[in-house]
Order: sequence, then C-alpha cells, then structure tokens
Amino acid sequence: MKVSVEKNGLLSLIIDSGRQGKQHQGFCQSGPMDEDAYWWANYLAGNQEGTPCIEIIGCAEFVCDTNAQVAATGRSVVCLVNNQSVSPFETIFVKAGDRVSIDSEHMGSKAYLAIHGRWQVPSPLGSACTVLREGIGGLENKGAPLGVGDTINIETPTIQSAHRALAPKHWPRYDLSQPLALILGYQEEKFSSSEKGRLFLSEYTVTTNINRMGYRLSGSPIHSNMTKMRSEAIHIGAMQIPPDGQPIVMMRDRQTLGGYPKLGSVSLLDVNRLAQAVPGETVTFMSQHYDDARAAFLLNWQKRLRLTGE
Amino acid sequence: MHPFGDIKQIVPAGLDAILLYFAGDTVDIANARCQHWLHTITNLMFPWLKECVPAYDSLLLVFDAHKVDSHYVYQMLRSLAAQDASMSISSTGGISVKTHEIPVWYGAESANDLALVSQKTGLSEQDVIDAHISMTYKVYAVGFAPGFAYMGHVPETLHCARLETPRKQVPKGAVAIADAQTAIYPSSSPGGWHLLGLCPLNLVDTSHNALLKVGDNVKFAPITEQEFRDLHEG
Repeated sequence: MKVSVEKNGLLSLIIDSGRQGKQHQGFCQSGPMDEDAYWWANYLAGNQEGTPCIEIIGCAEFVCDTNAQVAATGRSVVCLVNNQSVSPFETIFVKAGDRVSIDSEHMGSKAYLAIHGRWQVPSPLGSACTVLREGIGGLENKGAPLGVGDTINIETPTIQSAHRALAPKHWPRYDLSQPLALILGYQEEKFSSSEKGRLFLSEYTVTTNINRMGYRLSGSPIHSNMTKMRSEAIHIGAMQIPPDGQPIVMMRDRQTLGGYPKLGSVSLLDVNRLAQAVPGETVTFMSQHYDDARAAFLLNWQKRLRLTGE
Repeated sequence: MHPFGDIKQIVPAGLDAILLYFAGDTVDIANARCQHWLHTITNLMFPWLKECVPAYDSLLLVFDAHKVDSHYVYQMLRSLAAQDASMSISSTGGISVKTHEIPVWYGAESANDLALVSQKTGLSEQDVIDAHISMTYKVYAVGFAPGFAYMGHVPETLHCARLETPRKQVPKGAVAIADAQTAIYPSSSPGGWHLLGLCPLNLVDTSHNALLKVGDNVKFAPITEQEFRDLHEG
C-alpha cells in the first residue's frame, strides 16, 4: 500500500519508540513526544508495539491507495474522513482513496496517526525516528519531515483485524490544572530550599520556544549557587536551569550531554502531558519521590495491559 | 543511595535512571574510573540496561523501569565493586591513541564571539586565538550531538562562563569554548558556548561514525578564509 501525503501541516514526522543505546555516541533518544498517545495509536490500528507512525502538528491529510485500518490519538484530536468527523482513539477502516485529515483543537499539540501494516522505511541505528538536527531518519534517511507529495510504503496483511476502541474515560489526561510531578535529583543540592520552594509555589507559562529538544518555561526565576559544572548526561524530563533562571524541560530530541545545572526530572508520565501543552498555557510542579513516580508509571502500564486484555 | 569505592556521589535522574559521579584528584583520574565502569557495565549486557552515557566524571545509567528499580541497580553496582577489586583504579590507565590536527578559520563571521571573549577575559583577540591554539587537548566525552567531542583543558586565562541564554542556532563547524572545555559543533544546533571560528571538516561521516573519539588528542591550527573554502567538506 502507498500512503500519500496530501497536506503536511506545520510538521509531520515519521517516529517510532526511539533510538536506544546510541546516546554515548551523541545520537539523541528521539521517539514520540507523547508516548502514551503513540502507544495507543499503534494498538488501536492493530500494530505491534514500536511500529512507526506519524507525529503531526497542525492539519495534515493522507490518502491510502488500498483499504486500510488506521487510528488517530493525541490531545483534542480532530479526525475527518472525507470531511466526515470520526472518533479518535478507535480503529478507523478507510477505503482506497479516502481523504484522512488529522488536526488538533489546540494549535501546537501533537496528533498521532498509526496505519496498520509493516512500514517500509529506513531504520538507521535501529530506529525510524526522524531527527532534523542530526539529519537522520525519515523517508530518505536525511532527517527530513514529511512533505506534500511524499509516499510511505506499508506492507499490509490480507486479513483485516478486529475493531478496537478506547473508552473516552480512559483517554490520556491532558488537564494542566493538576501539577506536573518533578523528581528532585541531579544538582538539587545546589539549589537552596527557598529556590525550590519558589518553583513549587509558582506558575510557569509555556513559551513559544518549545520544540522536540526542550520546552522553555517562563515565570519566577530559580537560581542555583553553582557557577560552573562539567557537562554530563541528560535524561528525558530533566529540568535545566540556565543562568537566566527560566526552567527548560528537556524532551525527546534533547542533546545527550549538557552543562547547565538541573533541579530534577519531570516524571515520564507527565512528560507526555507537558509535551501536549501549547504556548500561553500555564503549568505548576509538585515534588514526587522516584519510588512513587515509578509506582505511578507501573500502574499506567498495568492499565494498558488490563484495557487491552493482555 | 550512599556512595562507595570510587563512586563519590549517586543522584536520581528521574524514575528510571541514576547518575554516578567518580572521585579523583584530577579529572583524568575520575574520567579513567568512569571509562572503567562504563566498559565493565557495558560488557555485562544487562537486559534491564537501556543507556549507559559517560561524560567527564559521571555516568548515567538508564534502566527499564518495568523490570527493575534504582535500588536494584544500586545493589548490582555494589556487588560488582565487591567482586572486582580492579574497580578501584589509582592511576589513569588510559591510553591515548590518535592526534588530530584540526584547521580553524578564527573569527569567521558566522561564528565570532572574539570581541565578547576578549572583553570577558581581558585578552586581546589575537591573544585569545594564541591561547586556544597553545594546548594539546584530550577528548573526555562525546555527546550533546552526534560526534560532538568535549575537549580539555582550555588555558585558565581563557575561561569564561556559558552565555546567559543559549543561542537558538550555532552554525555547523563552529569552534567554541566554555569554562575549561572546547569543542566543535558537528552540525547546526542550539548552544550556549562562546564561538571562536569555523572548522571546515565533517565530524561525522556518512555511516554515522564520529571523527573524534574519547581518549584522542587534538591540536588546533589557524587557517585563512581562502584555506577554509579549499578544505570545506560541505
């Protein structure tokens, strides 16, 4: 099957679960900005975990040249087939030539379009993820996002699989009124308790300076008593505090090493929620112990298993 | 998590990672210990280990949180240290192999913070360049971006802190300094270091191999704009 890109929105990228075990060479983790939505998209389209899919910002449109089964997920996703509204978070059976359009109500949120089958795309260093900055991944392994007129080859099985749906009450929660969990760590000892207190008591606004590398926030500045440090590895969700005191939360395409002090890490689950926030929205933080954060992570995983009957 | 042996500090890095810091009177000793732990852990190929990322004196271990937790990883490290007496390294032990001579067009228009560095250090612009080329640097870590080699040590007279706010775009090939470190940006990316000039060489080849590797030595050699254009690899 050929899937043609009719509209590519602001940014449409082929991504999968990420590039693992290459960070020591400087290749970033990559992977879906919202891992929960990505995981559900593949499940609902009948795919194996880790199958590539398209991460979309803005309004994108695709046409398959044979019948296909697809699924769209994300925050407030608007999904149309031939201009007729269809529900996200469930299998959509489309006919050859149908126009599948994906958009988000919140300008800048990420939608995920999974398409059933075996994707025939390059997998440099073990992943199909497109990283613009590294010039790696994508249809031609040059790090290019999807463009209008591109076609993706997907090998589709002859037998259709069953319809799958996720009830709305189980959709990922994108409500930002609940604080994001921050696990203190890294250089936290170099921040006084009043600086930490200020972070947990203040509201931070998501700036326009957000991308797959990191999300810059603006609000009460936080300062450490460090003047210099040696560069070290940065894991996902790390909250960097540059000298201007405005936090930067490091995301999927973050650099592997960096030298700004870090106060801690936004929990994996809440990285997904932050990834779906758009400029102008506000977030708050609460402190969470790493054991509690892991328990919440495992509960979410068990929920997936329970809901998918595994 | 209490430190032990060569490990002077252990901190959380989220719910699925810990960061180890190594003791050492010099960064070379700490770096050698880091390399030794890296190789030991990597060779054991633990099924729960997702990433093992070294830097100057630190090692990030990312584990599969479905399989283990940080307490498990900590106990595993302690038992490794107990089994392997050689985990305590007193000398540097590292062997440096290759020496690269890297051409630099100092003061290239798109990568020129010479005036700012001059102002911050009190050196003239020519003194800044002379100080930068006066040293043979060692590669301590590769990361930040593919093929980005962290090199030390920049002469103390040239030390300046990172920019207050990182730049959104640093050009490919930019030669930069921050505190005691120097590096070359292998591709265009954001960055907070001060820029001295441009290097015409590609630092990552088409098969994704990095030119500079941990332990290598690097000398910088000034070139003219014309020489830069002749050597430029695109």
